[in-house]
Order: sequence, then structure tokens, then C-alpha cells
Amino acid sequence: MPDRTGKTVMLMRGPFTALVFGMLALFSAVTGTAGQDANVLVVKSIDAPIYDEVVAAFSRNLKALCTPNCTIGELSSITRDELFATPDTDLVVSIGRLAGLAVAEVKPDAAIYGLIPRTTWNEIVSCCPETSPPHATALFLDQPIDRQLHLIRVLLPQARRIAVLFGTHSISRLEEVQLAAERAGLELVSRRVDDSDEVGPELDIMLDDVDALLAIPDSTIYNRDTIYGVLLTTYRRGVPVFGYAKSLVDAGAVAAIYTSPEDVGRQLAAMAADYLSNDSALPPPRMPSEFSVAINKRVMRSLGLPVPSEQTVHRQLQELER
Amino acid sequence: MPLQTAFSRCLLPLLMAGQAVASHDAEPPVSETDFLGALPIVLSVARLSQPKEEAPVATTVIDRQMIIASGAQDIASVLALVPGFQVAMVDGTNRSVTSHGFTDQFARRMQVLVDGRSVYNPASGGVAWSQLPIALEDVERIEVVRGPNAAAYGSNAFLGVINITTRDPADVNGLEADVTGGSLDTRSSYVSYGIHDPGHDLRLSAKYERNSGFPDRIDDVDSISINLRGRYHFTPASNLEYAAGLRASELGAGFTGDPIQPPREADLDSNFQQLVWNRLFDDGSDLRIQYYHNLESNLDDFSLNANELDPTLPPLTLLTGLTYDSIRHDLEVQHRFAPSPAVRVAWGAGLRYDAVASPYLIENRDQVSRSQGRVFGNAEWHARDDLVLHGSLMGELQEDEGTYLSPRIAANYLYSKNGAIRVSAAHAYRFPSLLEQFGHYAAYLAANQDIEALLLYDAASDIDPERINAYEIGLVQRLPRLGVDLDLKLFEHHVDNTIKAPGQEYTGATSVFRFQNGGSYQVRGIEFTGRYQPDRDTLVYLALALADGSGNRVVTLTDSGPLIADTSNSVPDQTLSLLLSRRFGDGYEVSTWLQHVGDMDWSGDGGFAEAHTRIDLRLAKSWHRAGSTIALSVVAQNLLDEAYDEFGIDSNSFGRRIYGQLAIYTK
Repeated sequence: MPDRTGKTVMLMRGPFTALVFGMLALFSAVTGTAGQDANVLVVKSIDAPIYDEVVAAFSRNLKALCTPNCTIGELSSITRDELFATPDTDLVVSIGRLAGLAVAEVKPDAAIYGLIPRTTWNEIVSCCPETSPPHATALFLDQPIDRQLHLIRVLLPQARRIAVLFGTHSISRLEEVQLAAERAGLELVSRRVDDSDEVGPELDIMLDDVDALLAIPDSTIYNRDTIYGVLLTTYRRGVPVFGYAKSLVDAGAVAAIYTSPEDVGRQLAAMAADYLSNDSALPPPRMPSEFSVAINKRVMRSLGLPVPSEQTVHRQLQELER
Repeated sequence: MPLQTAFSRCLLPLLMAGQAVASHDAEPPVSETDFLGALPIVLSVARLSQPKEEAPVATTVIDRQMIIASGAQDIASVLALVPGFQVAMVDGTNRSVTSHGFTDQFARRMQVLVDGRSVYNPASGGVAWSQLPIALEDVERIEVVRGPNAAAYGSNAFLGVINITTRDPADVNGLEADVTGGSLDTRSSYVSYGIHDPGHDLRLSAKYERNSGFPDRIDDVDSISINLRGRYHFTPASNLEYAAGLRASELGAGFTGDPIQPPREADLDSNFQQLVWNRLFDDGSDLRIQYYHNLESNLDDFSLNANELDPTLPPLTLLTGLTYDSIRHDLEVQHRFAPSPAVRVAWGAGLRYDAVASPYLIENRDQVSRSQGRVFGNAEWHARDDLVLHGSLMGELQEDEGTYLSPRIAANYLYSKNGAIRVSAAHAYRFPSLLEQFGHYAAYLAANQDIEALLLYDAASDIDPERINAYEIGLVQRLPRLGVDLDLKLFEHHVDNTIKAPGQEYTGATSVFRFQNGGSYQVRGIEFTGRYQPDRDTLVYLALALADGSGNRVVTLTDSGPLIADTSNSVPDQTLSLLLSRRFGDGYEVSTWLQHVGDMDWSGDGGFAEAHTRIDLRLAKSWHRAGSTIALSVVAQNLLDEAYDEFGIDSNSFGRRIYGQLAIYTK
């Protein structure tokens, strides 16, 4: 993915500079929105189906929840000219990392950062210290680590030792994962990988005596180029992989908990409606409360594991969190 | 300070993101793309082994751990782990691998695939195991279909299919090397290297092997092989796999004092090239287009003394030999899809061209060939949660032979979450190899090579394919808590139209062995596999087959009619393999392999092999240092030194053999 991300960034730098200045102009003009209808501005990173799906779900749900009424403006790089025509804004909702970084630059009074991993939130907060509660909050794509470990417990009750690879972007989570594993009664076998080339060799070493591999988002470790090695090596060793994305399950991981674009849109709408109706402060950033479960039945069966339905597992996970 | 901080904090992320444009090496930060971006489907249906409970056929999987634990020194020997399989050393290098006996040195009734490429020799119909351009170290796993599966794999999948998968290029990291030395002047060295670039994985390996063969025979070998396999991804949904390999061997052949097979040195070269394009679609269906080319080139000319062959003849020098070139081109398209959630279909078509050129083995002394077209379909229907039905059909159009249909049906009843009963029936054909159909093995006068002086083998003008009807009932039971897998199969095979080469000894006939349809046989029996793997470090594997065979074949055609031999002894009553393997925490590994094969008659160059039992032992110790592993191992084959005759030949006495290996893996 590096080239894709790179290209996107190249395309976006110009437009986003314009966007940032445009929004600065907008917010300096907005002084107290004593309106009846709330004005919400949604900013997408780019025009792509996933962002459109989130925005569609967000708008649909917000309209149903918003009383008396909400006006929802939409903005993306292509429609930045509309920025100047955008009416006074009570709340900005960003969709995606690039949109989030751009919105943070203009320090809106109230912003919800959606469709971002927790690492992006850290980027935003360290970039712009003013961007913090109560002016800002976020809905992460990351699932609570306890929930991911619950998934392993549910699908693999005999599991005792789990492997986790940490890279540059995830090493900060080592302690958190360690503690969660202890809570779940699992022994953590972890290794550090600083370069994509080390993934295969490190896996080879650590897979000897583990019952599962838990994938933690890190673009150094799990990307289009490394995924073949990761999934083939683990499959050969009979070690099931638990992921964080549906695409990982499609590729060959046995299961994942993930937030679909629909889930994200719905939860962002609920957060927005809550803020607008109560005129309260924004809540702290949160992990998704709604989630979906994906199971790769063929891989599970091929590994000789019993295959429950996704609904059953979802229900069991919800019960465990109660 | 605040300014500097503000600058570095606010703008650095964006600037760094910008740098990613300039440098591909910069790691992109984690973003929503990591959660929502597309990935290639790595474990596609083709790569996954089907759960045994749902498979239409009995299968045995031999993985790398078992291959290593067995201590086997070549690929064919590993197959003795498969229930009902007999593996004989025809000489120091050549092997004959059969399922439930009834064969000679060229076991022709098995389809053998290496990464989807059919490797049986179009000339003999058998597999030159020692000539495969892959090393044992390259093998990831061997999946064996026990029983006919022509409906899925084509005509040679008559008694079974041996699917060899080499190590995936994405799964080979860094450098691996080993050196082996031991009995029979064995020396070998192997090296492999994995190269990974974004979107591209490549594995390269090379091996040199030599040994002096059986002490009483001229069967030394000196061989070098190179193997390459790679995969290039165009998109997450499409990739191109490519593979190529070659092997060059010098082999000792013949017997001292044998007028027909004089002692000599033969040069055997083989190579292959293979391309596979895979495309996965959003609905889960996939398309696979494969092309490959195999070439086997044997240079083995020698001269005979006519007087030594027949005292009434003058001492003329005759020229002959086993020199041949065999080639195969094969193109196949396969499409798999699920028309409904309960049904999976795989269908496709293929074209094959086989040819053999030889100056001494075929009638026109030039080249013979056969083209073949095939259309196949397999459907799997999960009719109920506890019932899976399978139906397959292969239609083959063979040049000069006509169209043949090989069907197979099976039903699996899953009586519990971990157990199933399977019933299946199959009908299949085996087409004569090019030498069985067009063979004309003769010796020519050295003084005038246009004059045929002696004919040794030829083929009848009308040879029909061999036919098999096979029935089986299978029982699969897993006890996951105990780590136990059990697999039982009751089977019955009826084979007729078997192709044999009886001698012609009636008046007016040339004394020649002539390939023709001339026999039939039946085998019924039990195959059992038990696997106990309580943890990753322990394996107890038992493969047992009990078989009862009966059959006959024409041995000689005489004036008073054909002499018919009873061939009931061509299948051993019992075949057993017991493999025990244990890894200890401090890098020690111990494994032992007990093999027992009952009395068995090998035909062709083989003889009556008395029942034998053999115990092999492997000890290994490995050390890990800074990302590298060094492993030292010793294998003792036939530890108790109770010598027996391989392939039923006196000169193939197999006593204790010891090998030592040093292996290094660096990442």
C-alpha cells in the first residue's frame, strides 16, 4: 500500500491546504450559532465508496435522531469550493485520517473524528494540543483488545499461548496487550519487527509453540506484500490467525471483529445527535460499541476447528462484555 | 521551543506523508486503509485442504514435520507412510511407488503432480522419481488421494493421485543450506534462498547429490538440480505464478555379464517450465489458467554382442539403447464457483500433447505423439447439514483412441460434529503409455544401422485402456480433545484389460515381449490411519493396510495356448508404517519409523520380495543463535541391520545405512 497512500497524499496536499485555509475563514466568521437547526459539516478524506458509505449511514441516522432538525453539509477535496458556501457550523465530523488531520488544523469548537485508528488520534492530539476534549472526540476503528481476546477464547477455548507481532506503529501497545492477555488467562508470546522483511523470519521463530496469532494493526507487519507470507506460514504450522479487518478474514485469517462503514456511520450519528441535543460537552474518544464478527469457515474447517455461526459468536461476545 | 514544537507536531505528519511519495521505503502510518483496504485472498479454496469428513475420497497428508521425522533421503521413500503404498528401490536411484502392488519398475497407475503439474513420463507411464527437478528439502507437503480420482485428475489417476506441493515462495525466508554424508558414499549439498519484493516473492534452490548405489550393482548417481518458483501479484485479486527447474544426472546402469543390459553410464536430463495465472472474483469464484512444459532427455546408447545373445549368431556388434526424449505440453483452464451457498462447482477443460522421440524404442525410430483434450466438472452439494453429495465427471478425447468418460460419485454422512461415513464409487481408465502403444525396442547392426538385427519389445496394434471399478466405504472420526484422528477405509478394486508384455513363443513368432491387454486383478482390503498429536511436539502416526488380491496375466503365448500366471502374490497381505516423533524443549528431536511389508511379487525386472521389517531412527539437535538455526541430525535406516532385498532382487540387499546432516538456516 505505500505507493497508494503516497499517491493519495500527493493529490491531497494541495487541496487540503486550500481546505484548511478555507475552514479557518469559515470558523472565524462563525461567532455563536444561535440557530434552531443544527448545522453539521462532514469532511471526507477523499471521494471513495467507503467514505461515501460512512457518510450515507451517518446522514441517514442523524436525520432520524436529530431534533428538531439538522442540516448536514458534505465536503471533500473535490467539492472544497463549496466550503465558502457552507453555513454556520455547530459540529464538524471528519471521516478518515487525512480529513481528520486537516480539520484539526482549523481547531473547530466541536469536532468528532471518525473512521480513524487510535494511532491517528494520537497524531492529531500531538499535532494540535487544542484538539482535545471537550472540543473534540473520536470514534476509533480499533476494537478493544479485551474484545479481540474474547473472540479467541470463544472460538478456541483450548488456547493457552497467543503470539503477537509488534511493529513501529504498534509497539506502544505492548503493555496494554500484555495486561489484557493476563486478564483473559492467556500467555502472550511477542516479538518486535521493525521492517517488513523481518515478518517471515520472526513468525517462523515464534510459531513453534503457540495456539493462535493475534494481528494488531500495523502497516509494517500486515500489508498487501507481507500477507502471503503471514497467512501461508501460519496455515502451514496449523496456527489460526485472528484479525482486525474483514479483508484479513477474506484473505485467510480465521476470524476478526471489525467495524463496518455502516457501523461507523451509525455510531458517529448517535454521538453527534447526543452532543447536539444536550448541548453537552463531547465525550472522551471511544472504541466502537457496535461491531461485526467475520469468520472464515473454510479455513476454520480446514484447520480442524469447529465452526459456530457469526451471530452466535457475536451474541457470546456481547454477553461477555455485559 | 513552542514554535519548533508546533511546527514539528503539526506539519511533520503531513510532510512525512509527503515524503512517502518520494520514497517507497518509508512506512506509511496506520490509517483507515489498514482496516478497510483490500487484501489478496491468500488461503483460497485451492490452497486449503478439504476437511476429511467432507472429502469424496480418502486422503493422506504428509507434512514437512513428518517428512523430516521420517529421515527419508528421497521423495519417493516418504510415500511408504501412505497406507497401502509400497515403495521399492529398483536400483540405487530409481523407485517404483504403487498402491496395493501389481506393478513392475514403472508403476504406471498413479497420477503424480508437482504444484499442479503432471510429471509421469509419457514414454513409460511411470514416474522417474529420482529425476524430478525438485529436492526433498523443497517439498512442503504431499497430499495423496487413495483410490481412483480420474474424474478430477485425468486418466493416470487410476489407483491414486500424489500431489506434491513445494514450499511457497512467500514462505521461504533468507538462506537455508545443508550438507549430508553417509553410507554408499552419499554426499549431497543443498541451498535455497527466498527473495521478497513488494508484490513479488521468489524461491530459488539447488542441490547436488551423489552416491554409489547398491554395493553389488552398477547404479551410482551423480546429479545436480535447480528449482525456482515465484509469484507476482498484479492486484490483490490476480497473480502470476511461475516455476522452472532442471536436473542433470549421470547414472550407472546395467549388470556385469548381462548380454542385454551391459554395464554403462547414462545421462538423464530433465527440465520444466510452468506458468499459472490466478484470478479471484468478488463473488468468491476463481479462474486458473495453467500452462507447462516437461522435457526428459535420456542418452543411453550401448552396443551388444550378437553371439552373446544367441550362440548361433556370429559375433556381430549391435547398436541399441534406451535413449529417448519425452515431452509434454499441457494447457488447462479451471473455473470454480458457488451457484448457491450449498453447492460448489469446479469445471474446466484442458489440452495435452505428449511425444516421445527415440532411435531404438519406437518403430519409426523418430517420434510418436498423442494429443488429448479433456473436459471435467466436479460438484459438491451440502444437501443437509449432515450430508454432502459429490459428483464428478471427466471426459477425455484421446487421439486415435476415442472418447472415454470417468465418473465418480460419493456421499458423506456427518453423523457427528467430528465424524463421518463416506460411500463412493468410481470408474476410471488408464491409457497405454506411448511405449506401451508404439514401442518397438530393437537392436540394429552396427555396420548398417538400417538393418534391424534383434527385436526385444514391441506393442500389439490394438491396445485398449485399462479399466478400474472401485468401491469404498470410509469412516472418519476425530477426537479433538485427545488430539486423535482416525480414518478407516474398506475398499474393493476391479481392474481389467491390464496391459502386460508376455513373451511370444509360438511357432513362427519372433521371440519378443509384446505389450497387449492380457490380465485382470481384484483387490479388496482395509486401510487404516491413526494419528495422535496431543501437542505440537509429539506425533504418533500409524498407517496399516490389509489386502487380499487375486488376479492373472498372460506370461507367454505358446502353441498350446497362453500360459497364464496367478498374480495373487502381487499384493502384500499387510503393509504397515508406524512413525513416532518427539521434539524436546532443548532442541533435541527423536523420531523412529517402523515399516513392515508382507510378501510381494514385483513383475518386470523385479522379483519375489519376502516380507521384511525395518526400523529407522533419527536423532537431531538444533541451536538458535541470533536469528540463525544450526541443526545436526543423524539417520540410521534399517537400524537393526536385518538386510532384505529391495524389489525382490538379490543384488538390492538393503542393510543398515547411516547418514549425517548439518543444516543452517539464516534469516
